[in-house]
Amino acid sequence: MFSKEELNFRIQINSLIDKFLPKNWQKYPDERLDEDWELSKKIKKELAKNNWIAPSWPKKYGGLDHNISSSIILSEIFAYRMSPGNDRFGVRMIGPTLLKYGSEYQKEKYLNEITSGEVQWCQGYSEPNSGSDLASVSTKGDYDEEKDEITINGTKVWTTLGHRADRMFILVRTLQNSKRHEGLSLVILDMSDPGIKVNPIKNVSGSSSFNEIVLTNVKTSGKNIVGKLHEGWMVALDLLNFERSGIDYIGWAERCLDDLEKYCKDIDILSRDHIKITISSLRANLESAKIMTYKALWIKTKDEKIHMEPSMSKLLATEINIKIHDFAFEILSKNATIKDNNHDDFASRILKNRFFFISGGILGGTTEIQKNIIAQRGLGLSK
Amino acid sequence: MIDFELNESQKMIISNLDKNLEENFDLRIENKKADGNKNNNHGWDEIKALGFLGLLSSEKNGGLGLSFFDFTLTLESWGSKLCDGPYLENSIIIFLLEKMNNDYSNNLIQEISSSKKIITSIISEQFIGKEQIPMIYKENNEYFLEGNVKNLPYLEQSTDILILALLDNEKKIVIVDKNKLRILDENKTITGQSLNDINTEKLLISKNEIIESKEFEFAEFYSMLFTLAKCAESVGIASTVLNMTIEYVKNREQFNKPLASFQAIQHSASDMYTKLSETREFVRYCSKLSIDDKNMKKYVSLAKIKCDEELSKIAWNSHQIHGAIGFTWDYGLHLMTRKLLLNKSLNGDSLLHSEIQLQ
Ligand SMILES: Cc1cc2nc3c(=O)[nH]c(=O)nc-3n(C[C@H](O)[C@H](O)[C@H](O)COP(=O)(O)OP(=O)(O)OC[C@H]3O[C@@H](n4cnc5c(N)ncnc54)[C@H](O)[C@@H]3O)c2cc1C
Repeated sequence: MFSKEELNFRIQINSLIDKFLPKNWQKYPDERLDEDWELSKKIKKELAKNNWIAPSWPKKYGGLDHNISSSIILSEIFAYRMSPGNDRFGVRMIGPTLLKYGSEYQKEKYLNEITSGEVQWCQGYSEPNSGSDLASVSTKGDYDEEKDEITINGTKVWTTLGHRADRMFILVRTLQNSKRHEGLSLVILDMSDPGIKVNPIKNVSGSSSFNEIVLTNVKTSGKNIVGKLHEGWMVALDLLNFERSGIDYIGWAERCLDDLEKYCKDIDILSRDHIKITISSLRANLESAKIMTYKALWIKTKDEKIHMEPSMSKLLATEINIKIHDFAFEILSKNATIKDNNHDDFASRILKNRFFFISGGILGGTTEIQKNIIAQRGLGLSK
Repeated sequence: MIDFELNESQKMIISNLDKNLEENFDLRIENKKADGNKNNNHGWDEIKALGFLGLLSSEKNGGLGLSFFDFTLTLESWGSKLCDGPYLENSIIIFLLEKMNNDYSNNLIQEISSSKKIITSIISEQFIGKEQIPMIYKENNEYFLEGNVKNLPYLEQSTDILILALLDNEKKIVIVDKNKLRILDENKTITGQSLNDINTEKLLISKNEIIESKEFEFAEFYSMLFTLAKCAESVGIASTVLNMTIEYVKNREQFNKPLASFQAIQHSASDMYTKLSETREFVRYCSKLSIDDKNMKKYVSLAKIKCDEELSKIAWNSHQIHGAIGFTWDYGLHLMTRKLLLNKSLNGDSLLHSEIQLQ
């Protein structure tokens, strides 16, 4: 599937991570913690030196003009190694959106910032009353034509990395009383604006990766509207399509399955029939889901249409990841639920991650919404 | 005769217990406990005050003389309010002591029922080979206990510990005063519950402290009943998960409609409800079997397998239905999930119970 050069790229990325990640790194990165965040910044800087942050972007924006394979390799390895430093919001969401819809000013400024590895982005979509029903967002954006400026007021929620971010892309209602999908705009904000207050929210795995963001009279120039004013809905949807694919879940799932297989071998249970059969079935489903995620990422580069593959691959990847973690829990059981002096890092990681991966079926559009999309838009079944 | 109906006195006991346990139930305190910042045994004081420790002791011993099935019904309430404390352990010990029916056992039953003695134990884990078993040896006509016992719950609330030990390769049950033991490490479960490792270090024990149980294997029966009791507790926990979910989908609106109106949500909720109802009835059925029934062992294992398969799945589905709010710590849904996973990891896994039920 991958060329010689691409396989070589894989080796290079792995050795770069080796340089920074402590040996026996056993945890999903928690960027709330200063140490993990510092590590993330260092790794991004090193990637940037080689133009590896977004290798498939054009050279003039800090990329390498590679095809999508390099980006696939990058995401998969970072997830497999559970390494911090893989920028989802900049490289995988707003970046491709700007390449498609952005003005020359936006591309020049923001894409180069992203590939410098020094700027963190966050996503301001969800609100307390607008989750799956994203088109109902009510955060207000008042556009002043004379000043060419938007003033934003409202509350966003579940904003991952909001506490670390320098910039946010935010979906706001710029035409009041407009129809649901109309009168929305996608806008770029600077997070250092004094009108922005970030309140951390603790999640079920015990860390605080997401936040509530309260915006009071936050101002941004009209130059920061992505696409056209009041016509942000399709841009925002397309961005979500870039977000999906589930490639990270494939990396996390593969790591868990490899570690589990080794664990079963070490404690001498791999020869049992039911373990062999279950691990093999999980492996088959993982490998096939992986191919589907590759297709989902590849197809986005082929034409401008909105495809069903990203929704499908997100479903498949999140599902197999959960199945693998659930089976790992069956095997590890008490080691995972009781922390004593015999407790092993693998078991506690599996449990913590299992809680964390609840989010796989929710963020970026829930499982149920993906199924609706596939049925309604993919198969043309009526609403 | 087939009868699924609870009788009036069972209904009364449950509603009375529900009311009492509801009063001090606070998810915020439970959250602090899970965070390791607070020890909290919600429900334990209420159980003692209501005299429920004597639920399974005979009227002769001052108890209520109720059945094991009645007891498991109370555990559904107990689980549904995330209660914690050595209620299961002490009730089952009383139930088995009743079968012994001698002066020693009757005296002990009365002490436990009146909370003068509170016993903790992990013999169910010791019995299935998941925790260490100390040795008893004889020296100059005296008996000594030697070895460690790991992951004991509720040490703080207890006066004594019931330990499975080996004397000449024979399983014996010993009840030892907590103060005679050396406490080693403190461990934590994922629900924030404290567990202790203890060391008996050549502990002199009197012959009296070794329970002789000729008619039945105390440890084996304890292990079976405890497994079943934990199943009933898990059913209670899962029923709270279902209730929270239904409440939420009726109130949360997206696309200008309650979540409850989407077919995907209805199907998911109806699956949860069906599986929970099925599991509950099965656990109840198994709890009605007599411990002398030759099928008891098999059905305990089947109940454990069924609970392990269904109940944590109900919790994970509930997280999905809740969306991001169910992913937050403060909402508290994770507390039920944690407790269900903890219960799943105790008393043997599906492989062990598959082997038992196939025997
Ligand atoms: C860890 C995590 C990180 C996140 N990070 C971000 C972020 O950085 N930025 C951001 O903007 N958002 C973020 N989100 C929010 C995420 O996008 C929303 O949680 C998601 O869109 C679902 O919205 P909700 O949580 O309000 O659930 P709801 O929309 O209330 O849904 C609740 C349940 O109802 C179901 N449902 C809703 N509508 C339908 C329907 N029509 N048919 C069938 N079922 C339906 C859903 O599938 C779900 O199971 C994050 C969420 C999580 C968990």
